[in-house]
Amino acid sequence: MSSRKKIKQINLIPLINIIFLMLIFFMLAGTITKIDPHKIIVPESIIKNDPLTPFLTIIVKKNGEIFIDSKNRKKELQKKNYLEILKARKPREISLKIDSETPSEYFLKILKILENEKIKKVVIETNYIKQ
Amino acid sequence: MKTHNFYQKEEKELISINITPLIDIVFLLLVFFMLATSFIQKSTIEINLNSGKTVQIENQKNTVIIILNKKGQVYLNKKLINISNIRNEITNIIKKNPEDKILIKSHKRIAVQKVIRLIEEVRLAGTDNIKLINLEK
Repeated sequence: MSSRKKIKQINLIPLINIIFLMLIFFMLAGTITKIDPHKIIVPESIIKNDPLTPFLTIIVKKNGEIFIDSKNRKKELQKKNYLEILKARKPREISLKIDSETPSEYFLKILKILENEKIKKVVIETNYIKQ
Repeated sequence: MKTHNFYQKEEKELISINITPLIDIVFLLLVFFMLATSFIQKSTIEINLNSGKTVQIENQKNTVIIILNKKGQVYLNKKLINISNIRNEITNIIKKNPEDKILIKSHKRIAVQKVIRLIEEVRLAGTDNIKLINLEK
């Protein structure tokens, strides 16, 4: 009876140890990220700068569609609409989240618009790649 | 002897703790962190929008023109150059004339990734005086 009981029991302690180690690793090494509804792959960069928490984020998709991300409201906007938002809020700096495959035509157009709106600083979000 | 056995049995029962709920919770936490965390390091590139009118810059003598064509080839002052060499070339130019301005002309259909790479190479060369425009062709 006793020997049968011993065979049935599996020692779970090493498994728990490994799971705990993995949990601690993921908790410390990773950063929790928000799910991006637009699925934008930002460009890679070789210079490491600290990410900012901007007042306003302009999202530009591959096909040139523009969105404004502010207070978790994500809506596709026409040029006139986002210009109205920019004029109303007058942000000094803007974060630009642009897809890496977007044609530079759209990128430069939006920079031109921001320049005309007298926005001094534009920060482009990137992923740092160590070289 | 009998009484001794009874105590031993009771002691054994008290010591063993059911760890299955703990494992369940730890597993759930592990799955959550594995799915929700990312190891990508975020960075930013700052673009200064007060670098003057394009036409004025283009006509100035102390302007270095970099062209990024449709194929992704880079031309520095009309000379074809490898993108990995552009940093050294710009560094040499800047050493001679520190006030030189950089004008990056990119093709309309070229991906933003390539423009950003070029901006970073120029920045690493030691100048921040960059203006971006599209190629007219």
